[in-house]
Amino acid sequence: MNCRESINQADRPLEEALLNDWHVVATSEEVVPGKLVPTMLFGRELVAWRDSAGQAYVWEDLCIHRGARLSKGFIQSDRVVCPYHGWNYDGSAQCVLMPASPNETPMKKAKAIPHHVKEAYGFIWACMGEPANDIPAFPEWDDPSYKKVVCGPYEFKSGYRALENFIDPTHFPFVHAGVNGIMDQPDPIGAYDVFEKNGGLATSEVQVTQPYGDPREVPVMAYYAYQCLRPLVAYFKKRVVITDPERASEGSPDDRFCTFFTAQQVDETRSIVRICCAMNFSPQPTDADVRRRQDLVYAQDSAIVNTQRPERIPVDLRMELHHRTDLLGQKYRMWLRNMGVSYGTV
Amino acid sequence: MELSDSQRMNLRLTAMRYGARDILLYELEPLDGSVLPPVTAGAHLDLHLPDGLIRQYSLISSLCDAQRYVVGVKRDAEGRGGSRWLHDQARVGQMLEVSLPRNHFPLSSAQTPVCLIAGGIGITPIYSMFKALQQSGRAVHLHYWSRSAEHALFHRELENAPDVTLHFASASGPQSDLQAVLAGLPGETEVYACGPSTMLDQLESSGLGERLHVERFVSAGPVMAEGAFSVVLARSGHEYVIPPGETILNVLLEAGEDVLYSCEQGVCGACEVTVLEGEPVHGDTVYSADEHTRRRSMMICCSSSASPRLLLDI
Repeated sequence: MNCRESINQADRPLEEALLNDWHVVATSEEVVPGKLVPTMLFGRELVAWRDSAGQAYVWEDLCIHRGARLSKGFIQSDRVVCPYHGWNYDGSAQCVLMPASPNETPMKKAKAIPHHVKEAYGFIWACMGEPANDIPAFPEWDDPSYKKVVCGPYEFKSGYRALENFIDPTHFPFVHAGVNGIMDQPDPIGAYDVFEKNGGLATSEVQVTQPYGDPREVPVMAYYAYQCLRPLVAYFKKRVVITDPERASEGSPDDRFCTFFTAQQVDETRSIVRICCAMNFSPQPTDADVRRRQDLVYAQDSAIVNTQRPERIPVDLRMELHHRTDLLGQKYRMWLRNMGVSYGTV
Repeated sequence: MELSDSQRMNLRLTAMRYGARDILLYELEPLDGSVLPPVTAGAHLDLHLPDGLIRQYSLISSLCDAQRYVVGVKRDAEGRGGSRWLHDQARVGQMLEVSLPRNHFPLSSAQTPVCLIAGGIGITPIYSMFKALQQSGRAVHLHYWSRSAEHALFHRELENAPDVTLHFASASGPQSDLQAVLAGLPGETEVYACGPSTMLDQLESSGLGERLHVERFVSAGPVMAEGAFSVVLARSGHEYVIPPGETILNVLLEAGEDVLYSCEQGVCGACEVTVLEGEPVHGDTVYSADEHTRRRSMMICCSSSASPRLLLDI
């Protein structure tokens, strides 16, 4: 058994649905060349770094020699230097120098434990097993008519509860009163359809009233179409129609606002949410406008979502109480359960 | 004496009158001449029927006073038994326990025009609203869909009344007319509607937003079959008899079967299962019967069977 296998078997092995999937561990901006960035995914301590050519790496935060944390070390000439005995690892994860025996070629087994890495949509993604799927699609990322703004990180206890909240249109009037909804006039949510799409879940449009509907700070009628792409990745595309007749001319029937949502489940009860918003308005709001509004909305969300108990989401529908207006959340929980996702759930 | 919300009153059934085809009007009076709590348009009460059935019926508020409550009940042969008991068994002079009136479907106090939409027995709260609005002088128009003049409650009174349009639904249903009615409404009109769920679903997806107020006939309990039927779980071959008065869910849970459920009253959708064979009778408010047919599914917490056997994909 090699080191990777033994680590994958350590403690409780992570279920394949999560082990063999891609997960965001950082935004691209967070990992600058020359800096070791410690991070954690499903309780596994990882280190992310970038070489001078811009290539990103995600490894176990562990020196095979004596188990010290590599992230406490430093980067020199595109090599990670262990803080304990100074072993040097290059981008292939091979140890290329043991300072205590500088003229000797290090053993073949002297390797760091690297994970699969991709960069997409402003995020660094890692897969600790063998990727079973590609990173989910975000069609607007490559569409030049859309402005993209990465927002976050936002701290939540449960990435799954945060995602379920992201795909729930019925909390707007209460959690986001005056922003995404009106507390005195909550929208009744009519029947909407949930169907399977590319192995994930998708909905028909859900209509809500938003007094401060997007970074333009105009009241809109919004029509959300949600998708659950992966256990910790979701997306919506909303059609927005400006309802203030004085400002209607600022909008167009083609106006869309999308959010690509990711959650990094750090351990059983800690997660980090990072999102990328895409919008095709004209004129475009500034990055600061977009971030200011998302920071407000996610602060409102985490203040409530982090009070939910149990902190780990129940995937058995017999726990908690459901209603037809929560249909997508229900289907999400069933989908997790059927995939065999158990980490961070009860 | 103040009555709390959970209190019940004993009222005497003093009259049953013919309203329209399959619809009877029931008059209920206090036993001792005491004064009944007032009712407003849109209010309903619970009738506690024998066998523990509890059913909600809209009060026809224009016919109600301090000495008398009036409800309209349509006999639903396919229903859960409450209306069949009232039509086939109830006798004048009987005492019935009722709850205090409650109003979850009140008229707003705005002065904007109102469009009232009723489908079938949904006329009972809507007619009450129509009378109340006429009295207060607020602009109102009533659209009432029923199968035929014979099926229309208060037909004689409504057929030549101003501000009323009677629609007699063809087999294809009222959909096209309903869209035409909505299309012609002035922008600030409030819409109040009560009727079959397909009609209300259509209204809810028509973009009226907060101007729309609907009342759905909420399932007060499970649909019960007349007799026992059997349920076969396709994956294990296990077979269970569902006796009258029991739900499929309860029988399966007591047998230790691993089935999902949440609300136990047909409003969530968690217990949906695929029906491989048999004819379910649906008692939930999540999907219409047509939708269930399309999905080949049923909710086992509140639905039963018209066939002697159901084969479920469990």
